[in-house]
Amino acid sequence: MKEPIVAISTPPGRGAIGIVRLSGNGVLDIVKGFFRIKGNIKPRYAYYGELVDEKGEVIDEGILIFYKGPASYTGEDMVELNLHGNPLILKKALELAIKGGARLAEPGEFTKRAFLNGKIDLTQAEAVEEIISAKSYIALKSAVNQLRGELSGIIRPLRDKLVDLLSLIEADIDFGEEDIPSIENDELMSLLTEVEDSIRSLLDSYERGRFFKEGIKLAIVGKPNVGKSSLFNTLTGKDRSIVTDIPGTTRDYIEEDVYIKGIPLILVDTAGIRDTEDPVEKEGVERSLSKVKEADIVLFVFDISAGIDKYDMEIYEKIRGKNVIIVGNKVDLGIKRPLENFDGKPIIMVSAITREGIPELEKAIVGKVGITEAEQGVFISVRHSVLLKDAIESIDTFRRAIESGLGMEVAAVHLKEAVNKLGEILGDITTEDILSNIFSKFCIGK
Amino acid sequence: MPFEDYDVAVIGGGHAGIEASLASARMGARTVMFILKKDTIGQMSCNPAIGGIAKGIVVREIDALGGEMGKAIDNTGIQFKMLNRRKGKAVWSPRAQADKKRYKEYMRKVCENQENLEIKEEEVVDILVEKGRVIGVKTAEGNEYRVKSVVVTTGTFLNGVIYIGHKTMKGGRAGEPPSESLSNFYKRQGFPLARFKTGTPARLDKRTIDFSGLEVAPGDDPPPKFSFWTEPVGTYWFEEGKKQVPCWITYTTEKTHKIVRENLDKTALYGGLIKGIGPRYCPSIEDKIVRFPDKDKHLIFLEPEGIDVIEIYPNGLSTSLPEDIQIEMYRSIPGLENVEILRPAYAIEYDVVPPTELYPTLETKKIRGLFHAGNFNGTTGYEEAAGQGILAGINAALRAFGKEPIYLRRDESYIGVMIDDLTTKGVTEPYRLFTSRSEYRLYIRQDNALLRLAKIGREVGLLDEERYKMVEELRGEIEKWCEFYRKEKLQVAIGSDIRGYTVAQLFTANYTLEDLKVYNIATPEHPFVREEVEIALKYEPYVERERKIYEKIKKLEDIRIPEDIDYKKIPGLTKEAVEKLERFRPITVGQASRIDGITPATITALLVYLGKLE
Repeated sequence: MKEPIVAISTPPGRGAIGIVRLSGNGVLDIVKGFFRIKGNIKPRYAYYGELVDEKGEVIDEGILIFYKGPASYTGEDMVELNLHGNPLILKKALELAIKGGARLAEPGEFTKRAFLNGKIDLTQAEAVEEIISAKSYIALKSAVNQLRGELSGIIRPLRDKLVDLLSLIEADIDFGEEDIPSIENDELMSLLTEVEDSIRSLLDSYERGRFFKEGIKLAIVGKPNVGKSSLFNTLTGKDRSIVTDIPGTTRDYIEEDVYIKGIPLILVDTAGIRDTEDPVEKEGVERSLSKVKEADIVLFVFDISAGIDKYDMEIYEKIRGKNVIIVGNKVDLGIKRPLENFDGKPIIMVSAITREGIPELEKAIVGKVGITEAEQGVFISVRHSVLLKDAIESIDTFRRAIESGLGMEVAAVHLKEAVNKLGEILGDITTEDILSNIFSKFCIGK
Repeated sequence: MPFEDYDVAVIGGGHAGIEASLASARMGARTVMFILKKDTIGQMSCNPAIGGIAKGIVVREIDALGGEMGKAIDNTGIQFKMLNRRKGKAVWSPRAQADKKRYKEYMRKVCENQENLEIKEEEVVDILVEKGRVIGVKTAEGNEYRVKSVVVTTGTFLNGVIYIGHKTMKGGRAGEPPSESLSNFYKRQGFPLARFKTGTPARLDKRTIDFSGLEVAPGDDPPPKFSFWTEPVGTYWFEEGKKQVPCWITYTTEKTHKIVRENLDKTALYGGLIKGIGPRYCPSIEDKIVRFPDKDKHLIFLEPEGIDVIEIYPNGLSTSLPEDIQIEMYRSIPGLENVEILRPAYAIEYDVVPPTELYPTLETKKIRGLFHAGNFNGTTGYEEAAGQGILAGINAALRAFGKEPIYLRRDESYIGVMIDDLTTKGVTEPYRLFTSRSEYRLYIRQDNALLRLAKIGREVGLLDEERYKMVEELRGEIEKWCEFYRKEKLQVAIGSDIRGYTVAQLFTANYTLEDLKVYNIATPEHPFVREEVEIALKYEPYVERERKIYEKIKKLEDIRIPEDIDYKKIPGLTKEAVEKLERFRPITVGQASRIDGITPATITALLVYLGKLE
């Protein structure tokens, strides 16, 4: 157990309730020094009491809950004070706790202590951070699943399968002179494929998870004055982009977070892309192009009342390889030439002004994302995806080592690598359990 | 009160006791070996063989350090094989059938002729301790000897109980009394004791076996040897055409399994008599049949116990069945239809002190100058015992000289792997070495034991100057050739593609020096250099990879934990972790990380506290 720490756990600013949290040795005694309560305090009960300053004056009333370690979030003794959400009150409580012997907690220190005290594993510790920072309901659910051990629940069996495989090889090396069954290459390969497939689908979830955690980048692209900024304003419901009839009004890009059907999007309004001599506009076009490169989905906007011209085509060429939705804007001004498809893609006809076709556009965007709010499971982090990719690479090298007839003792090195990478996700640093695996499977011993 | 003075006393003259005594005496410590009967020095209580996968490498490590086991088996072996030949040379391992009688005669002679070593046929009943240090030993004969260090290598003798079916008798080995008084010493000093179990099959009368229908298992030609120093000196191979004797192969039958199954309740093991924990990898026949009911036959090797003896050791048929049923069981096996038993199979239960009571130097944590080695630490196997014995002997002598004991690292030897496993993880069953216990299998090989350990052998004074010089010259030559082959490129066609490859790359792709003949490139002359250059280069890239996997752990290996550390003061440690660390007292963070139940979080906290977290 360790030195007491204290922090205000609710966000800054005013609110109905504000919480001050303490963890460590003697936190209950510290709190009793400035929070008056009648009678004894039992763990996990709510107690009404008074916050009292140095002069003995009552500043606030609130509720105290005491958690006795190790049955607490951090594994240590903890106290939570629910006070009124006035920053002045909360700051006072903080000061009083520090005077009583607590230290101001570092960012994330409560979770760090939970990890160090063995209350949660590495994937779970990471999940806490993600729960707090989740940008969408789906990302939140995923983080909660991870906290509940769901990611470990997927990776551990994969690691165990590789350990099984490794056991076969180890048994062959250590007990090859005894009458144990030899490894069939076919069997080995099919087991490998199974594991690889599972890892790959986890990696897929990384891409989708990234969408949910960070938001999907959606860039609006088109030549000047096709109504990109109007569309941006319509989709965000705000008037952030200046709309004029003068081409080239938007000289830089503008970003805004929006939710479409519960999916977080980062909408980017780009400067109209055209050849220009104006240095400011030129810079804007450059930056727009780089934003387009980063985008997950591109809305290619043209003026359907004017039809597609060669400038539209030039811009389209630049974004052709991306995930593109074709938007014919200004449908309220009439249609110059009826067009159903463009480059084999359906054209969605909208009016940013009248909102005609906007629901269809939203549906198309959601369709492109390929996920729905009902999405289940866990989304992995960058750290996980790097380790998973490493594991796949090791499995691949292992496979090639076997196929090219290098010895099992050499191939085993690569398989061990893969096992270790998966173990690292779980926070394991040793690779044991192989021998016990061997003994349970084979009759060893002459 | 003291009778006579010695630097080091070794209790026991088995495979651990011999290496401990010889190492200590050869380092110049006045050494005494206590053994009940001189003619049991070097006795092989179980199978008539030395070596095996991983074990054979240990024997070469003992040899590299300056031990005796390799020379003994080279001189008295009757059949030699290199195991795992179907696989890469990194996991090859030598094994030999021994002539048991000649082996122990050889060992006794070496011990009796060793300068500084005295052998006493007395039973040690107590170890004398003052202020936490060993000061002497007391024998049943009433003598007290003042000594500076003691190595206990009592094997299976401490409170040994022998089981044949439901018949039990006290004994440390067939026909020999156990050692009971020493257990009291350990109880008095507050050492925990555990009960372990092992067993040995019956010995069969060769004259009553019909070998005509059995498969013959011959030795290798040329046969591998264990010691670099037996003739021909400077290689690990005997010359071709060495005279050897064969073993035979047979199998259990459905009838065997039926007999065992029907009489399970009569075995000591399943009848509930034995409570000790037996080794999973050396199971009795009843164990195999119970645990693997689907297997319809089990492999049996019939091994001669010597050239001119009638005993045959049926490898794979240890049992705790009663004698009359043993006969019935053995006779259900092809070739053994009319077999006569010379000595029945038995199981034995004995006391061990958990090796977590030891530092990786094999010194006890409780008493300075007290060392444990061999089966007494919960291991099985002559080789494992001898490997611990030599280190315990070295350290007992160093202690007596007032010097710091040494330990062997996991990444430099199997002996290091074993002792680290024993002292950090402890044992829940008799411990045997496997190659898979090592993270550095491709580096700690049979071929380079000498290159790995000769330096340590020289430093402690077990390897003489002349031999060490020879090793260093060979090492220099090997390095020179490796350097050359890493750079020298050859145009080679692999498939239809002709490209330049370095010779080193070709070795990695399974080329041999023989294959290079056609390219007219210079090759080494010395047979050891030839073999070593080829193997070292073949595995070089993988050895690197192996090291990388464990790099993180290895870094931890170098972080020493100060002896006076107060775990209670470390923030973030759970009570359980503090309690475990206090009990184990690991000497490095690496060792701490391998203690069962120590989590990565604990290691992180420990590193933070030691100021070693980047």
